[in-house]
Amino acid sequence: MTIPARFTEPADTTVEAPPKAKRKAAVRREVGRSIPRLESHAKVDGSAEYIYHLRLPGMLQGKICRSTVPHGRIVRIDASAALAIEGVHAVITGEDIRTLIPDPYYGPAFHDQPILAIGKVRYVGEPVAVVLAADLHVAEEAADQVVVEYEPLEPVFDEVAATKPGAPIIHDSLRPAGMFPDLQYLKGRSGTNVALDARVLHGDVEKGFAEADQVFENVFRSRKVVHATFEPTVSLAELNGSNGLTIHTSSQSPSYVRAEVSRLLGWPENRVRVRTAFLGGSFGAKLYIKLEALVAACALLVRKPVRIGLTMEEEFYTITKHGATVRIKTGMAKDGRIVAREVETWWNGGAYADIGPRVSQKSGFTAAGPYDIENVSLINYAVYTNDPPAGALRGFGISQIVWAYECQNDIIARSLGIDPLEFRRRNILHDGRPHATGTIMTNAEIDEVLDRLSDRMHWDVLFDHGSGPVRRGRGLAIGFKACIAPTTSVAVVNVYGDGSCCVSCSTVDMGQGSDTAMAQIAAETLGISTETVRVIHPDTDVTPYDMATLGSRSTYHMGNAVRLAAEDARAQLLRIAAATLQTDIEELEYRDGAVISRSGARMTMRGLMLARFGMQAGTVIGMGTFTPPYTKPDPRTGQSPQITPYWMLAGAAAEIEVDTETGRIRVTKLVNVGDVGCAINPAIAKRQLNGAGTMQLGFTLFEEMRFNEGQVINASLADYKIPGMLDVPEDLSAELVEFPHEHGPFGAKGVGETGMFSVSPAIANALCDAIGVRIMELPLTPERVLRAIRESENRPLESE
Amino acid sequence: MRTFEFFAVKDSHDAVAVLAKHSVSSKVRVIAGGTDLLAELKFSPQSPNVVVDISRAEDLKSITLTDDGLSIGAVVTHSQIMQSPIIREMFPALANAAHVIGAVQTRNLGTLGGNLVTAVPSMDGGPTLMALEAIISIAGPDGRRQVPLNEFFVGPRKTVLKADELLAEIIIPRRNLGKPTHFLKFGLRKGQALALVNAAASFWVDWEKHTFVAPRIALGAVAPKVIRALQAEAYLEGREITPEAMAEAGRIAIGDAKPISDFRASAGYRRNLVGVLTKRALEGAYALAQAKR
Ligand SMILES: Cc1cc2nc3c(=O)[nH]c(=O)nc-3n(C[C@H](O)[C@H](O)[C@H](O)COP(=O)(O)OP(=O)(O)OC[C@H]3O[C@@H](n4cnc5c(N)ncnc54)[C@H](O)[C@@H]3O)c2cc1C
Repeated sequence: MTIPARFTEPADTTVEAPPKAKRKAAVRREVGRSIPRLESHAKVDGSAEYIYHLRLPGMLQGKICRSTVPHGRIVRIDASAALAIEGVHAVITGEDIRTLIPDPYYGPAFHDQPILAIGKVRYVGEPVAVVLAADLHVAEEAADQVVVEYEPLEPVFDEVAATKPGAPIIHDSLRPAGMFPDLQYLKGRSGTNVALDARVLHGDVEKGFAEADQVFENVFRSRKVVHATFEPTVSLAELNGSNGLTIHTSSQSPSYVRAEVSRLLGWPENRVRVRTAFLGGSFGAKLYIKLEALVAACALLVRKPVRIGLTMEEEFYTITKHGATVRIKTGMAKDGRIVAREVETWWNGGAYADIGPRVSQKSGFTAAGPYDIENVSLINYAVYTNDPPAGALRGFGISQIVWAYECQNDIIARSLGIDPLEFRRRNILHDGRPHATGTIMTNAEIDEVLDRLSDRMHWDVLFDHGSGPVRRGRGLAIGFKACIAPTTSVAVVNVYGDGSCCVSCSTVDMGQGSDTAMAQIAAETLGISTETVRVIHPDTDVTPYDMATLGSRSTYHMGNAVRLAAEDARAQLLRIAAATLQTDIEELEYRDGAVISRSGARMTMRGLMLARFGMQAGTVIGMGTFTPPYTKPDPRTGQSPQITPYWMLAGAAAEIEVDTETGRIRVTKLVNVGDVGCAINPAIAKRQLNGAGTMQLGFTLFEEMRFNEGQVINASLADYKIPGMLDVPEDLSAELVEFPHEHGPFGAKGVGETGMFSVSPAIANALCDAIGVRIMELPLTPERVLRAIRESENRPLESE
Repeated sequence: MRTFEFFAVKDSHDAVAVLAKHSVSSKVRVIAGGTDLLAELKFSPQSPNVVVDISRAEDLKSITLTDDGLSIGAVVTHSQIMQSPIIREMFPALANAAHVIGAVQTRNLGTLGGNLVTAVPSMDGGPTLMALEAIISIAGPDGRRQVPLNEFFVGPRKTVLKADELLAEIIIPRRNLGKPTHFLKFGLRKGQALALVNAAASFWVDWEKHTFVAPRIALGAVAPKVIRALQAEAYLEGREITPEAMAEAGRIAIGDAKPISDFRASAGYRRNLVGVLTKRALEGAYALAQAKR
């Protein structure tokens, strides 16, 4: 059951926002209730399942031996010393994998990543061999004994330098993967480190600059950071019957894993079973293939179950968030309106593309911001370097982009003497206006986001900037994202013989509360209480296809699929009632989990099952499939009438204190406003905003992977600090903007990433408000802030 | 981690006896709270054959006033220090220093003795005790010997302790009881972060002349071991207490420090912190002196 395309016609192009009447929400019992998470008890008493804890009988543990050079040819791998250690079962190398999988390269965008290095390594930490032993300590010890000789090649780490002529080439040639429709236009390339350049052209940007009264140009940077999930990445594989394989994995994308592992093995998908449990966080780290292909190959080679669980240190060598360099040039008219904007972004994708091209393209096309700009040019380069691979991290690149445009907007506003809030009001993209891609902005509550920020911050009240060494400042920023398209979610709602009900779907609950939200949607539709619904965790043998749990898409896509599945089940129950009561379906009404006829007869779900199957048994299966419409953008101009199913608008504002003698920023107040359509569960939605805000606070103030010649030198939680409880601002709050989205389930949109978007520029803008110092590179560590202060006072701090 | 023989001793005599017996033929390690040692056992290639657990040693567990001064037993935990009425009354800086060590779990297990013996330059237990001129009482096969804390540290992770010796007590000398002292730590984030720099300042006030008397400044994470800022101390001795004098002492202390650059911060930034923290620690100690007056 696919919802047909119904998007607002781009008829009216006046600048004034059309007045929007609040659509009145129907009376609801389950949706909109802040129900405690269904799994809370299990998580507290320790009974919740995590794959990291899983041990299989007869299992071997794998320890990965990793590259010690950033770029080099493998001359020789000598495993004899490792094999001599008692208890070592096998040492597997890339060549061994090839005996099973002749072409062992994987990846969602390009098939560029080998399961284990073949011939060449491209970053420090790249898996080169795996030692298998029943005892993990033995495997660890032996992994240190695998001798690998490299012939070093020149590395390149900087994303801009890597695009320059003469830079060492990291991949000799590229093969597009071709699985996802939004990435199908990717072309194979050779002789360059640019995996993809994606463009959006709108109006005539040169003309815009020529006509502008003033032009601003800045370069903003953000460094690589990591997801730091508390459950490290883990996968186990075991043989399943004579010709099948079961993979237990901490994955956000079980359906994808099944498809990709099947493709690698040359098997039909029905021979590979992939299951997940709760994930101890993921944030994009556990998407696509991480360890799954490796454990699958190992298990098939040794014919025994194999588990590989990473340590926290290894997480730093597995997947990271893109560092980015953003050059942004903006032409302004005297009246404070943006007339032209050009944004050029270099995305540091590391050694393997992973989902980098999507990050570059999807975030890239929003790089001018949620503003109404006549002339726009956006260029994005997904760049290979010899850093660890970069992929998705809660926002798919949006926060790196918002960092640039929202900092620059403040620079411009200050320079023109316009209040930063007023500056944004003058330029925002109102509902009904075309975005730079040509897609019309609809169901996006940007005015309301600004109003709420203003209210919460008492923006019109004079602000005390303090005196003495500690100064105070406040700042705000807005950002937006277009949800990924096109993707599909499928759900099944099972009504069992006794009338109880399960939702079967492949959405992974990784801490975001999707089980509860899906149960609420099913319960609302079936008129039962959420607490009685069970949600079956992803198991590709059982739960139907879902693209992946990513990009804040589950509530909207899977939410719609679950709603449709529940409606389908409800319709079947109504048909059973009609047959049993021998009345017309029109005579019947479904209410509170029961069917009621006009004559007053009432049949509960339990009763209906008994009636249909003649005993308290049987199953009614409702199915729902949801694929929102999408039109591929023109590859030359990036134009598309339907680039996204929905826009996610966000705003953040911060009050800070800055110690001008140490450079330390203390965020005293942080407000995060999210345009969520409808909060299926308001408490969870707010926690998503606050959680994301706190996560981005770490990326803003202190998180940064530090490298020395490609080697991460702070690869542990002892040295790489994420925010702790004491770093959370005393006044941390989230605000939900709720105008139902016309196609969202009960009006809902996604919210998982929204709270990340605007936090960094809000804090940097507050810093500038406090002391007039502008910093263009994240994170805003005390040292970086103090250096900038000293620079501005013309007494720079010594570099050593 | 390899297997080892494990002894849990009931007091310091017992501990010394076990050490004497095994330290000749085996690699022996003492364990108190284990918060440093366990990490080391996991990651270090040289594992001990014998581990002696002193966490239950009765005579090393208390905080008492003696003729010599304030004695803190080696296995007194950071949490105990934070809760000790004597310490809170006489040396709030010590309680504050204990409070910034790790998390609740770390403080419940970690001991002051372990903190000093680990002897990392960034230790938070060191500077305050150094500013208070603490004496370390060491138990060995020939009985006790005493070493001033600033001679106890030899370098990063190195102390004067011999393989058969035990840190038994930390003694703050009688002459310094109640001496106004202030401790400050600066880490990259608020909790559970190594100090980029930490500092303690301590002095008596001659209220008649309003001058510094016996000023002591100790700095952590800016040299191979916790150090005293001797030039800054000399500058302050007998000088009138003014904000300018404290700021100047901070500048002078920078000359006493020799920080390095690492991924957490550059040496230049650490030097700046030395100036700021020294000044602020002096201001804090002075505020305490005024409050106690
Ligand atoms: C998560 C975490 C956070 C931490 N944060 C901080 C922090 O913020 N600041 C800080 O300073 N430290 C910190 N530490 C380090 C550590 O907790 C402290 O140094 C603690 O005080 C060590 O004491 P312990 O009793 O646990 O020592 P143990 O681990 O038991 O011993 C440490 C060393 O001292 C030796 N030893 C211990 N007691 C004696 C003794 N009486 N005589 C002879 N040798 C002895 C042991 O053999 C070992 O070499 C942290 C540790 C962790 C795990």
